[in-house]
Amino acid sequence: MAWPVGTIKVPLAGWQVTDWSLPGPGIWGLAGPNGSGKSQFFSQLVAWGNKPQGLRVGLVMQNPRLQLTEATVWDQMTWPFQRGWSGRMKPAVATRAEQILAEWHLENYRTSAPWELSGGMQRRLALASMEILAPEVYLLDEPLEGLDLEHRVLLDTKLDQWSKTASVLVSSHVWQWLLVHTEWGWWCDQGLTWGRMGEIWYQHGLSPELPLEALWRRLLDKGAPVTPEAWANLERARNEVICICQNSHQIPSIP
Amino acid sequence: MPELTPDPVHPLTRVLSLGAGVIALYLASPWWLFGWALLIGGVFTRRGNWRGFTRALLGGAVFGGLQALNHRPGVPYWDTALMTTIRFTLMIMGIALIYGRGSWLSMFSAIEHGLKKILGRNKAVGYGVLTMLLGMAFLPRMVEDVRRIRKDQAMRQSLAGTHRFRPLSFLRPVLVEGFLRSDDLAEALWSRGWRPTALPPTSSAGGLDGMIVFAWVMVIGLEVHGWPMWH
Repeated sequence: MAWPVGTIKVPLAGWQVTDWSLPGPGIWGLAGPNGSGKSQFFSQLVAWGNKPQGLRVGLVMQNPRLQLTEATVWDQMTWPFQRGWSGRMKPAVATRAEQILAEWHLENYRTSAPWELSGGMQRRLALASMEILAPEVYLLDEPLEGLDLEHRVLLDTKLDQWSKTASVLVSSHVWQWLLVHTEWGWWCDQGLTWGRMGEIWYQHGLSPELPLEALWRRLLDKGAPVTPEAWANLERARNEVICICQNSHQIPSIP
Repeated sequence: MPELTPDPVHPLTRVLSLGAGVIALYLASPWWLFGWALLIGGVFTRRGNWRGFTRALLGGAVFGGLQALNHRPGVPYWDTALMTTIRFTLMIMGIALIYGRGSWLSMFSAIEHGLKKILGRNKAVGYGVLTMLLGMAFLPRMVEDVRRIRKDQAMRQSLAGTHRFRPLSFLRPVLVEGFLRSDDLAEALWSRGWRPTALPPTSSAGGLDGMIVFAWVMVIGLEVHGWPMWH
């Protein structure tokens, strides 16, 4: 199911898309060069979310510090739920906030100031404070930045969990991660081009960063029957190579 | 009503700490140190008639400051003034956060008390302090208004279902402005003894106040002698 959004203008990058639709639950990638308007596009989606016909859109910004507005980690989590001058809220919110903070390994920092936390912890806090709001559309702008391996794995788990009920749009420059987690998405450069992320990587990826990427590019350049997505997935790459070998009964030689 | 405990630091110490920080910015002569040490001491002792004496000190301080600004041969003063102002503003804001936590009311009360000792029963004193009190009372709510305007916070509130549509919120600064500009209202409220909440009891100046004042004297004194090389 897709939600019709209509025309989206990205003023600073100087482009617009017409009749744009937001895809339903799932993880969708957004890639593009610096300054192409990815973050602005997310901002425009937030503006759409404020309209009556819009969905509940939640944005985790590229710089999490911009979202850390409260004096303590606990307030950062619960502030949007506080009502009136006294700041009262439902007990269920507190329980849920405690649970989410524990999941993001921030339970010991409840009384700390968000500005005292490290960059990765601030990222986790921004993600956690968005999770408690349970939006229908997650917009994650460079969510990997600053996260260590343990919490990247945690983010992967969370993405799988969120994408069952919500549309999760992820922008990133880490192709390997994007290709593992997203199958379809957009290339953002003077507009949005929808396509398979593997093909977008093959068309627009810059010079290879890893040996496997270089190998896979050469295979694709030679017209070998491999998929662009497989370079980021070792198991899949191995299976594809085995298939080629079994069909041709010889090890393919790459000039 | 919560029990009000006496403040460990005298409110005027806090105010004077801020003042000393501001003055430290423009310090150029040891006479400043002398003048301010006398003024602080004079206000704290609260004995006798210091009216003329304090007035002279204040006037001298202002005059000396203007002189320091205008007569600095060979020093590109205004170029460095911006950076110095920023640095010291940060320092003073830090001090305000540390010392001014939750006791603005007693600070204003002490300022009023001190000014009335100096200036006598002047209408301007009550009016000025009322202005400060109203400003402090409305400031948090104005900050709240500003927060709602922020796109990100509005987004989070609307996701949580607590975002309210408040089309008349722009009236708040207008009302505050009205209160502050109304002589009759201000004087009527103030002369009838109205205060936002009960004033906390203020103990007399003690050893801690002496230490803070001494610390400021040291800061100012060291700066006069060029350490650290801030200018």
